[in-house]
Amino acid sequence: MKTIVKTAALSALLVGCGSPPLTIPDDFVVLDDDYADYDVRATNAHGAVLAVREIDNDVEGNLSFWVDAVKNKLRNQGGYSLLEEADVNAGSGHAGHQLRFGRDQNGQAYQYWVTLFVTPDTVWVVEAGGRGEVWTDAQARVEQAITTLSLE
Amino acid sequence: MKNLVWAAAALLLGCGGSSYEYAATAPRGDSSEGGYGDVASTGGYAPPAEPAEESVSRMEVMADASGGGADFDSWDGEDDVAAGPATVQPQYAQNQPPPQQPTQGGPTQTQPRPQQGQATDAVDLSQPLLIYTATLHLGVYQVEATQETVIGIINEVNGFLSQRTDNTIVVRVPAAQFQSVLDRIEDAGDVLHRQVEALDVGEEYRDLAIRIRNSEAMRDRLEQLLRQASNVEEALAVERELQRITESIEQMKGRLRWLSDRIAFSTITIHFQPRATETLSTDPFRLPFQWLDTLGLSNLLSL
Repeated sequence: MKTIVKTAALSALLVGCGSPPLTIPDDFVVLDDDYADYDVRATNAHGAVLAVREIDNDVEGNLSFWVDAVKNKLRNQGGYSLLEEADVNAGSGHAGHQLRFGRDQNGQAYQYWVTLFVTPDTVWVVEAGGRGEVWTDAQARVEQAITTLSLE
Repeated sequence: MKNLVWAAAALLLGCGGSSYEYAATAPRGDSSEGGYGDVASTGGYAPPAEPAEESVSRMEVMADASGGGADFDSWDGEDDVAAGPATVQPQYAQNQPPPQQPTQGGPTQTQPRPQQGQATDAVDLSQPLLIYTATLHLGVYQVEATQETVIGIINEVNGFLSQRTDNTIVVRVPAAQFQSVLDRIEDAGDVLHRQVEALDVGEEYRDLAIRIRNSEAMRDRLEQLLRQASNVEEALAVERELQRITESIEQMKGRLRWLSDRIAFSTITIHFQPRATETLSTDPFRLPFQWLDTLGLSNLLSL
């Protein structure tokens, strides 16, 4: 029952902000991120974070363009290693692409996922990540949440 | 014999009613006969005809040796001098018409290619005697390549390279080719500054020629006096004067050679200024989408 309420509240929030609905995992809370670059951002108690942003696709780039843009940016200028990539589908059926990066810092391993969905007008960017074992615990639920994204 | 020495001294001092006139101070065109540069003219001192002819002959030899080749045979002295106004041309601005060729159709076009630093073209005294010089500042992208292009142009017209540094070259071209060469050089780059001058040296040239002729006649007369000297004292006195006048003649001949060279071959100085080239950034390629810069864990995990 709690999940339904949370999903409904988040959906209302997202619709109100013009953002896509996304089912947030049970152990995550939505942050009040008015000042941030994200349309919605949620975190669990251990520091795994899930965020969504909606970018105007003014230049009408396709999925391939934006995937490459993100890939180049994070690999060449961000110091991330691309560990894995895969095609994914949103809850609305739109095809997207997921880039799974890794980064080590101060002896800690971090995971950072960027999942992209592109429509003629909008680029949907779903980011998720966290430190080592924290991410390992949250990964399955985050992966599941991404598949609930609706671009309708 | 003392009288001989005094006569020489009086001659050199210009007193005694000598008919020698110094071209630099002589009035121009106001005398219809004798006088101006005419060694054989009437007066208190009349050098023999033969030495006077010799002096003319020497002048021709000198001119040939100098490469200037002054055409004294075609110059009849005073009237030509008077007819040659000494007018210094003003500098030519960027868009003003350049000076005309001073010796068009003259022997400059048929002379063999000179050695560097020499000019063999004859000076046509019937034309205004002008020294053309030009200074160009050219904006170019490749200095060395453009320098080679300019040198190629100079070689085509039998000119020669006078001086070369990293960014400047000085070339000499036949005066008849001055304008056409200037045009072609300007096409080799962007003209940032242009200065063209035509200096009329006709007056100086003719004055020098007359003074040389007079001095040589005087030298001949001194040589005669030297031969007539009866003792060492007289001989030494005359020799001193001979030495002085010989040095003076050589100086004037040197100046005449220099003028002949500058008249026959114009001087063009070209300063090459490399154009600022675009400097490409060595920074990593960045797409102009700001949101890409906000990607990363640093932002995401900053709660």
